[in-house]
Amino acid sequence: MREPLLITLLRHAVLLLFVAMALWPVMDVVSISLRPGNRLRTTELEIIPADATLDSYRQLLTDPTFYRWLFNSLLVAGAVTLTGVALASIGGYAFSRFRFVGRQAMMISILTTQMFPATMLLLPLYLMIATLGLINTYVGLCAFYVSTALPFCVWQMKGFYDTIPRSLEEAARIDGCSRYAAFRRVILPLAAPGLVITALFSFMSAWSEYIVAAQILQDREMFTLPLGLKSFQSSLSTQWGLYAAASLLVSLPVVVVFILLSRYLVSGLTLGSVKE
Amino acid sequence: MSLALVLEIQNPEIRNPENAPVATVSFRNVNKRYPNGYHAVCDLNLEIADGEFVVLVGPSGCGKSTTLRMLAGLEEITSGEVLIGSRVVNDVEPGRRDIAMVFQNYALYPHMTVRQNLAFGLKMRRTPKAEIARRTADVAETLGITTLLDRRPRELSGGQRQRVALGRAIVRQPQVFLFDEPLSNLDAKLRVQMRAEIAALHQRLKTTMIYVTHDQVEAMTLGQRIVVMDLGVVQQADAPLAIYQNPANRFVAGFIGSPPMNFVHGRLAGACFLHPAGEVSLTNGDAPGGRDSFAAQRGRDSLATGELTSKSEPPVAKASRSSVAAPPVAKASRPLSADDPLPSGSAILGVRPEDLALDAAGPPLAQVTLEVVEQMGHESMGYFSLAGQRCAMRLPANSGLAAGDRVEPRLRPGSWRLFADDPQGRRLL
Repeated sequence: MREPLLITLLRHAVLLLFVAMALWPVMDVVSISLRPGNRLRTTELEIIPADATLDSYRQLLTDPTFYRWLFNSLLVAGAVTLTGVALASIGGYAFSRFRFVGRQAMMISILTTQMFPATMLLLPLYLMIATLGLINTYVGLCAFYVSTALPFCVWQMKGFYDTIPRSLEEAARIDGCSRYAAFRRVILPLAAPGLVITALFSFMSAWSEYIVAAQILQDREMFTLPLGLKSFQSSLSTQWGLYAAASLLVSLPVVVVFILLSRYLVSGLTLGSVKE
Repeated sequence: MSLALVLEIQNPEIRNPENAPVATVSFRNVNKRYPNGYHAVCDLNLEIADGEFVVLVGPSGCGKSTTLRMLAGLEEITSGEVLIGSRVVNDVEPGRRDIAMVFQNYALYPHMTVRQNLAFGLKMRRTPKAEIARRTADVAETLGITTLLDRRPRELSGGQRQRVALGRAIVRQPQVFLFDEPLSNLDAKLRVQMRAEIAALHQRLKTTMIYVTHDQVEAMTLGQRIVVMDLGVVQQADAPLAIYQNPANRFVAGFIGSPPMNFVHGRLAGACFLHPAGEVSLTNGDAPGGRDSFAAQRGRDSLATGELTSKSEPPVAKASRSSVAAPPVAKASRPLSADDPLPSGSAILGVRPEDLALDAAGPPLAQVTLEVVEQMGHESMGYFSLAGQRCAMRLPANSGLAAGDRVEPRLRPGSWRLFADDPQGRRLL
């Protein structure tokens, strides 16, 4: 049955509206980053202004501090990703496969922590980190990030393991694997899409986080990119061109990681192994 | 892959000659109780001989799969002992029990090729690479999957997958093969074919095999011995034909055989079996031994020689009148009397569909109306209701009978069984 023309037009109009809403700010930032000087507001509508210049990028990319922040961000996000994936892959497996005392209660309490926004946990976690003497350290920052991202990751992995038939690891165990070997050689490779999603989530949450980093890191040398970005905003004048260019450069790695890992996000990796 | 080919390729390497241990399997007072209190297997005692093909059969939830999984080491044993050979394996890791298992859902490793799937078990046992390659190739050839070796499971059809799963078990040369409903996911035609291949495999390997199924046809055709389970308890363990002919209780009688045995509820009053459609006199026929023959036969694996005589029947419809008159109650033999130890009271008469026929030599059962006639080519099956129970009888293919016809099925002499009308349904005769 063919759709009436009016419905088709309406549908496309609505979609276009949302596309515009999503893309407009990005295009705006692109436009600002290309303007010479410090011009935030303009009446022009072109995305690439007539006097476009790459000066902001040049200035940013020749600044060693920017690289320092980039390195810091990669370090923190990388560490959070590795820790998160390692812990979530094991924790999720335990919740999925084992029936132990307190399993239900633990799963619910893990879920409950997700009901509070991270900013609410800021004070208690800050106090804990301060007591441990980890203020202004990457370990402190990573611990904070991992503890806030892990609950979601564990649930995510548990859900993923639940879709992998138990008979696969039973077959592996009969084939001579220990419980751990069955996990590592059979289940973990099949959980790759889940691990990728978990890794992406961990990476992105650590990469773009600002509030927590602003409390824990105090040294300008130790800043992560979001913090560094904010430091362009001075009390007297903000260098909008630099700010916009840096924003784009900061979001680039996330986009790249996403594209690189997207092929693992296809479902149906277990297709054909068992028949339900 | 034809059955002939499987039989033809005699591969001495498949069975390891220097390591041909006696792989008996014993269950001794084995119990399985789940944490929620469910008693899945109750006090199981079973001895399986080396090289025997045993089929565990029963409805879902009867404990057959749990029994197999306890033997495989995938399920903990609550109490009792499981032995493979002379070794108690209760606390032995599944991988160290020297068993192989074929799963219902194949359980092939999806991220590995067929070759890697076959080799995985050998690799885990640190078999030399050359040996792995040779054995994998041998098994692939035996099963006709050589051309599939570099494919992944998702690229295979159901039958091919099951064959790979079978190969993965064979290549290990285990002491005991376990099959957990391996054919349930295949279509009917493939199932028959694979069934024959598994039978051929056992003929060739002569390894102990334990096969779980809910399909009584698979049980009858494959097993050297059938273990019928229900509610976690072994109901009967015997050769297929012995179980078919002499079911130990009503459950076994109803479970083995297709269509199942007909049951008619009634009452034993002395020598009479009364059911709502008539009154039947039980005689012990010409059985030697006179009055004691009923009691003597009870519980024995011999066919009962009693017969049923229907009394007080309505006039028989012309179309179905049998030329063979019902034999009168034999004067020479004495009908059952009250002092025979048969309990009076309610009982259940069991008779298989093939033991009911229009031209059988025994007495008629009752006048019935056919409700459904299923034509199957070589014969047809007629269904009717008797005392509220659906019953089946075998009809010749060209009987010309149709639903609505009145017929008078007769019993083959000595073909009926009598069960107690209680939950256990134990065999009375």
